Amino acid sequence: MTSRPAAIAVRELRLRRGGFELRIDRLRVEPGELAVLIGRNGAGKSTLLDAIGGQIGTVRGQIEIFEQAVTGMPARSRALRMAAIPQEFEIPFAYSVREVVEFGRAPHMGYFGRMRPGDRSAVRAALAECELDRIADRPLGELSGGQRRRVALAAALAQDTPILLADEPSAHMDVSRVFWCWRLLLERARSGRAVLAAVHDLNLAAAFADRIYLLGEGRLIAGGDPVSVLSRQNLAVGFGVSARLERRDGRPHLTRIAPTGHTSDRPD
Amino acid sequence: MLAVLLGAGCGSVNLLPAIGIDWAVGCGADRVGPGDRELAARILLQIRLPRLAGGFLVGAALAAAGVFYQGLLRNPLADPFVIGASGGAGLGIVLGQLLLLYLGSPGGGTALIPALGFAGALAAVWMVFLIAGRRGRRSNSTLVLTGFAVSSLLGALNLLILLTAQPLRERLLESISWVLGGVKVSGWTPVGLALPAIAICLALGFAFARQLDYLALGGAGAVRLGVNVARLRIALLLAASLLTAIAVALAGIVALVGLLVPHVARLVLGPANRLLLPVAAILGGGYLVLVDLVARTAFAPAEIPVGILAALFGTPVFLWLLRRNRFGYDF
Repeated sequence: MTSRPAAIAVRELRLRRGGFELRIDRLRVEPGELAVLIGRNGAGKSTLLDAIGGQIGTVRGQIEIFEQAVTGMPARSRALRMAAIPQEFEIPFAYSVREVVEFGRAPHMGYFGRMRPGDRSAVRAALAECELDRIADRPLGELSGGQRRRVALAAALAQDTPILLADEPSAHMDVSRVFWCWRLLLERARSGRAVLAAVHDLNLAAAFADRIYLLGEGRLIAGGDPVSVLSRQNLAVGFGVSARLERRDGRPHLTRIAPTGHTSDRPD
Repeated sequence: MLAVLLGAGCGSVNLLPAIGIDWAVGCGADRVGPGDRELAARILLQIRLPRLAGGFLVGAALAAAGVFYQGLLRNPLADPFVIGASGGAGLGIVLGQLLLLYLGSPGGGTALIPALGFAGALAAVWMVFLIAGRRGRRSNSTLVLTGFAVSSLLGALNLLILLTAQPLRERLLESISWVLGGVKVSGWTPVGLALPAIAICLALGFAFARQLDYLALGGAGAVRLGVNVARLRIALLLAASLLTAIAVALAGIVALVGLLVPHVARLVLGPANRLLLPVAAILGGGYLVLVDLVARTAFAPAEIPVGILAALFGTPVFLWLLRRNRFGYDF
């Protein structure tokens, strides 16, 4: 392991939300890395992202970003270091796409929220990067689900933070947009930022992730490079499926994904 | 097209005081005879202008409170009346007046009445939040429905007290016109008390306007953007409840202004609160002055409760704007 400070470091995390318990002993995301969370519905992916994002007040254990504890950090300092694309992105009233992307500049602006030239250029760049120029003045409520995800992505890009958390960033996007979205996240990581994203499509994780964390019932089942995490045994335990792991263009790729027939925890 | 609409709106608002003054002078001069300018001036300065200012303040306060409640609850149906604040303020004020009547000093305690109204408004809103459920559990529609129920209950209690308490029964007609909303401002004292308080609330709201925009993303969304959401909510709930209490103390329960005026302003300007708040306040103030003008002249010397007229004129205008809106404005 390097001695560089991790962008995200989780140690001995224990938290309860409702009847659900999350226990993560060790999880790290380095700067420059795209890490991906996978796991069944209700495995704890969103809860973990919320906890790292500082949305859950009382946790046991440590969640640090750049070696500073997330809980107790002032909201604004946190917002300068970390942006998040939430699963739900609903807004009342007819805010336009541009206004919502401008929201991303909130932590950079002064108390009265006056936009400076730097803020405007960041918003312009984010709108252009997400190809939202032409619909920038339309109200968010008029857009399709996939377009709305792009607005959420653009707002997070405009926030311009060294850490990006993304919960199903490519949900509702058409198939070419899905690849566009993940290429963009990968570029973001390669520019030195840390990206942690949750996703259901295992082949997106396989194709883009530097590191995969597999969650099951609130626990970390496996973590590491895609080939080792997407093993036969892990897929059976984590998802109750079997699949063939192939190589495509130098990346792992799963084919013939099918239920194993029984969903017990026993490996084959 | 929009600019014309906006210009006409602001123009009519800005012109209103002038029309009001002309009318006042004309009427006063008529009644007291053409020679007595001095009396006309006294009527103008001591009766008409305070009432005009009071009406403006009531409309502005209600519209601003509506902007705050709608933004805080992320719900276009929220307003001082629906959320129970008006009812709570009304109950506080009625009880306060009853107390003063029993103590035998109906004239005194001009600051006590709004203070009790403020306490009543806060208590009502707090009760609504408490009943609607704990943080995170309550949905916005639960809150608004709870508010509506509490509001109805408080309204009923209010009427019950007005109809049964002996000292208030003697002034039944006055009470009923107060319940239906009527600008009862005489002299400059209430205006002088209300103006600084309203100004402080509006300034506070303006300082928080940008953060109120971020709250549209939800509490968690605003936290993600670095907003101190607890501070924002407390500050604006206090401001909105104080505004409601002042409005109810000055003019009774005027429904619909707090709900409709912010929407009308939003339909014309879009939802950004920094522009919306001052414009809605001016629009609300101008609207209430206009309605009050009609209320006391249409069937003079009898007065129609201003709340009735506010609904009578406001609703069609609002529905018309809603039909022709080009903003994809969505409930």
